Amino acid sequence: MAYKTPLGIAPVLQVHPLNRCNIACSHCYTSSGPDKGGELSIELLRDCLEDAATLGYRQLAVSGGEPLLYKSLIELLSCARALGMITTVTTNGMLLTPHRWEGLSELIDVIAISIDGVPEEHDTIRRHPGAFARTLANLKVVRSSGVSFGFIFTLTQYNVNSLEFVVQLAAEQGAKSVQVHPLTLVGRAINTLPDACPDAVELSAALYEASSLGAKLGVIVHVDALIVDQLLKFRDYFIPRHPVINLVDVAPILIIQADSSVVPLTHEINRSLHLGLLTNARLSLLAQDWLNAGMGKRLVDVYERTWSELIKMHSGTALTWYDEVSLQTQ
Amino acid sequence: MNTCKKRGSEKLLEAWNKRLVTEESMREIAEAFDESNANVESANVGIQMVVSYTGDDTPRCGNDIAFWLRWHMKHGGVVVPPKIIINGIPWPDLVKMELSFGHQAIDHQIDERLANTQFSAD
Repeated sequence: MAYKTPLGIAPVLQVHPLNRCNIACSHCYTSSGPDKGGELSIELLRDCLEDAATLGYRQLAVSGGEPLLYKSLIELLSCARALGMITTVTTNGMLLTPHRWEGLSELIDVIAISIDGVPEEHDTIRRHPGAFARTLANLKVVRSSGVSFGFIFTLTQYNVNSLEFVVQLAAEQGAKSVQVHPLTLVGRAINTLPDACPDAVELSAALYEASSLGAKLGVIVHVDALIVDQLLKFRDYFIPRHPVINLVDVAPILIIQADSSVVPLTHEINRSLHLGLLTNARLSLLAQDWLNAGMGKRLVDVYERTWSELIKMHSGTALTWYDEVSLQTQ
Repeated sequence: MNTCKKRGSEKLLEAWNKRLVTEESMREIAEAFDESNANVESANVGIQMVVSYTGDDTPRCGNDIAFWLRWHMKHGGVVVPPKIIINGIPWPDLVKMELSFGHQAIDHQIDERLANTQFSAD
């Protein structure tokens, strides 16, 4: 079945099996760090994956915390592969040792490694001196395995000028892509980077840089943002049709948080739109209850309201669609 | 992260302006290739140059590549690797190089590319 989502990708189940991380980045939307304990059991996630695949989710994206610290990562990825899902892992790359990578490499379609600018910028945002050097040194482990890898760059109000460095590094290191993800004020960023969310000007600059650098250096550079003209041109991509029958039609991104909360679209969406806890019921049941309660219709109404508001903006204005949808739910 | 509170786009613009091929930086290029034995085959408004070396002049291409690198170290910008064609191994009869300086022209309409970006992988 071909899905047309605003991301242009297969519907994705984003799993955060733990909030434990080797570092505590200033922009972390899950407030992860070395002091965070607990993790989701593999049994619970296996059931979740089976239900998600039945519901139409085609991609497993594992994040964290640091996913390489999740002791059942191999089982989780194996399960997704057995269900025919694409597998991606997002990591800070600091723990990508040959020992850890062994056994994982054949289960991962794409690994995304965070690079947030020139070394000193990266180390500052990661709040860990030497983080950049360690990640860079580990790239050879991934490269030699032949697994596709890309970089993720967190865009703030102050760093679009560093994108050039990151794309150039990607070209030099053999990374296939650079994903530019605008900072959202959620998690630790609320306190550490309160004024750093990129505005429309910075998003536009990022879109322009992405286009220019990508063409010049032969790297796919994707910004998680769009311009208002795209909303007008592709309305059907953004707003699902009534009646809502399938969860995947209204929530092409489904997040499993480390406390087992099931959240549609983004971490900052209003809690009243959460599906519930996997520790209370399986995903298939949560999804059915959520749809029966009319939440799908409510979310489509939010999409429509967001779309109607945004198209009043000037042509060429850049925005982040799901962040805007989430804002409308507050 | 940069503690300077200047917008990223402002810093981007400043860097862009610094890298524009100015009269001074053009003069540097012209002087370097005046001294070189290279035969300048074409030069596009100071952005791209195609040069060739034949016979005993071929070793000189290394000096010109060194100059090209120094120019970028001084003026910055995305370094697009030069295209180099060598005819004759192990002793080249002809070396042809395409060297880029400063900003490159963007050959597509930005709006058109942006409009396709989000959906290209569907």
